[in-house]
Amino acid sequence: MNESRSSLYSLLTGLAGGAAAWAGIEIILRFTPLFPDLRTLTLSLGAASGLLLGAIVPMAEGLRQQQKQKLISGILIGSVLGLVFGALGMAAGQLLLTVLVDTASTNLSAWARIPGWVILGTAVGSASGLRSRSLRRTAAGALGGFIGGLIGGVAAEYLSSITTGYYGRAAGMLLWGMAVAYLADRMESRRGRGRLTILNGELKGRSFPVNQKKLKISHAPSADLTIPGTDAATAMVKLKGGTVILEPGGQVELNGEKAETTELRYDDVIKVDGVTMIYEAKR
Amino acid sequence: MRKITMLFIFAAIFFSAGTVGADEITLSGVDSRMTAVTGIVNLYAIVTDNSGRIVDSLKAEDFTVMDAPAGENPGDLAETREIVSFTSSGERREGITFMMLIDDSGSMYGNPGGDRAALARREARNFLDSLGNSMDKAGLALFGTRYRVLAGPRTDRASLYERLGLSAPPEPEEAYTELFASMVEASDSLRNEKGRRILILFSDGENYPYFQRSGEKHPEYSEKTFAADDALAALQKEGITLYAVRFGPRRDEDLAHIALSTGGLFFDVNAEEELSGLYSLIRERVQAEYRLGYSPGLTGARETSVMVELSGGSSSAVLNYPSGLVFGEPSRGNQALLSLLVIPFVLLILFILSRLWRKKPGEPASLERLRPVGGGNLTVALESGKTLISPGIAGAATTMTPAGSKTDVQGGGTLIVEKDKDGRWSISSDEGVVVNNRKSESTVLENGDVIKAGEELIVFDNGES
Repeated sequence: MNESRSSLYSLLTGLAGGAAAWAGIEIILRFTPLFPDLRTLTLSLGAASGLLLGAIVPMAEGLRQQQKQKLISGILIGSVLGLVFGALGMAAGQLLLTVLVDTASTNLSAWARIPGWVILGTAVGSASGLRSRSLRRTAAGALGGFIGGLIGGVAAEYLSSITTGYYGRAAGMLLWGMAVAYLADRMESRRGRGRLTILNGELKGRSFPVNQKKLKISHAPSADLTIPGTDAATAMVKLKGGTVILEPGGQVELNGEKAETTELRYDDVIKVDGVTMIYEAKR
Repeated sequence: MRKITMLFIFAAIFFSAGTVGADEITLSGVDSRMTAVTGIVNLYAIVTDNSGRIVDSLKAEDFTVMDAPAGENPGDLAETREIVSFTSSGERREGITFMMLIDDSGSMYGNPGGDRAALARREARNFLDSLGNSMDKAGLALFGTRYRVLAGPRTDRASLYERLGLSAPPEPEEAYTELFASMVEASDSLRNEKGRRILILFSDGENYPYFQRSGEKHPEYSEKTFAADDALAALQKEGITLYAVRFGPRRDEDLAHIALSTGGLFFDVNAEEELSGLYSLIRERVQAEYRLGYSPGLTGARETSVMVELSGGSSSAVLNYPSGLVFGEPSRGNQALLSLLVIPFVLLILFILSRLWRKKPGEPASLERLRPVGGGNLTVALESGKTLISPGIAGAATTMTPAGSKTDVQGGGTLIVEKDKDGRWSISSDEGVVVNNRKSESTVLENGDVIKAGEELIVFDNGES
């Protein structure tokens, strides 16, 4: 799977997340009068949209690797982050709306939401990195989510301003979801030292960035890159200074020979228990 | 005459206890800026008895607060809301921020009997005197064609006195009266001030906008002309109350509407002596306000009407304030429920992603170009006979063709992939082959092996999952 195919996963999970969050917002707004106060309503709107986006967007990694455990942990971590930061983000947006912006005479009210979108985007973008316990990935994803939240937020608010609230919100949420998911993914990839592309088996064609200090490849569901099979073979790919090091454990081959701890070079072919992958260093 | 009478009534204000029965309530301000955080909207109310004296002894239970979406008949939809905080009249602990906005247009100068500009400054000084050493802040701004802040809100009185002294008739280009624009700008100047904020306007004329009257673009607003609604919206949004003093023969009817709609007052003054003590009266009135914090109802409407009633329904007052939600207004009818139709769409996307590019068992063995250069086929299914790989040279595409086909080009360096009698796929070439970065004359291919063909890489797939 080349990078564009990989990006399709993030774009489509972003689209799905945006759609789900939009439905959540519409349902909550429908029952506005039932909420005790504005604070509760705002927090609920933010929490619901964050929860749905946070649950769906980080599913991309689990779906790419066809790994149920990654799918579930992505959903759980993303949900919690989305819930908390969605609520905070929207509270910030509502505060900005009521403090700074003149709703009665201008369309600027919509722009007050942008800080909310940015906060939520940053949180959702960091979910995959947090799930993998990698500071490097978390920071890259958060930066991507921040930029995606900003760009998506501006685009969403522009769309909202030229259409009615209902359709504007729909278009806006879809756009925002895609922007955050795509840019968080791109940023994680850009921060990597290269990519590992799997060349055979069930995961053939799928490509994974080498973007964390330690990338564990094994059959274990908890591995960073889970490969099909049951063997205990493990390979660790580590970032050390400017180099990328392969540390084999068990039945691991490098360019057709039994692998030893070594620096990876461009187009090196690694085989972990029959699963072949090629390392494409970042040039 | 009626307006002079009103002035007279307010001139007679002094603090006194009163009975609720004959009292009259005025809503003098609404502050909803912190509602998203506190859940509370603060209302400022003044109660006077039938002699116009301030009533300062009321308790929270003497008030009833109702609200409803602003519209033609908000009263029909109004619901009673809980008063969650209450500050008695005259007991406010934090200071009040006053902004004095003084007309400095051409008509304020060279009037018979003395400049109105000088008069306005004198009254402003008197107002500063009345503030004494209180925690109250005061700011000073002038306007003509442009809005100019001479001093932002501050407790330091000396610098204000000093700046009040600077006065000169404006050049013709600066002599227009951007009345409404200056009120919008003054709202902006007060935006970051906490607590109660009052705008005191002194003007002798009507809105006389530069662009509309001169036909030239305004140096700051270009072709934009501010209307009374813009000024009202800006003040209401900020919860700023306008006290407007108009002095002189020309009348702008919108000014009274703006002042009263923000909970303030409008003074139409015709003689200099009527001005005496007016600013101090404004201050006393603001200090006599009750503050009622109430928990607003949620309607999703962009604007809410709030009504405060004295017990027994003897008197009530209404003000509107902006109440938009961060996500905008709720959709109408069943549109919200229709949005649930996206759930199958979401599930479909996730299902497709879970199935996308999954390798199916039983596919034929194949060769796939990993990073193709130029055109040509990307994948070729391996047949029982030989398949020839012709590496591209100097940027040309690598071709993969079955031996004996029309496009078969066999030459030096051509790689031959074929199946041996044991059913294994192998690769060979008269110039040797590089598989998985290792060179040999020929080799048996394994699933996922990487074959180097000129500048390209080709991946062998044996068809097994």
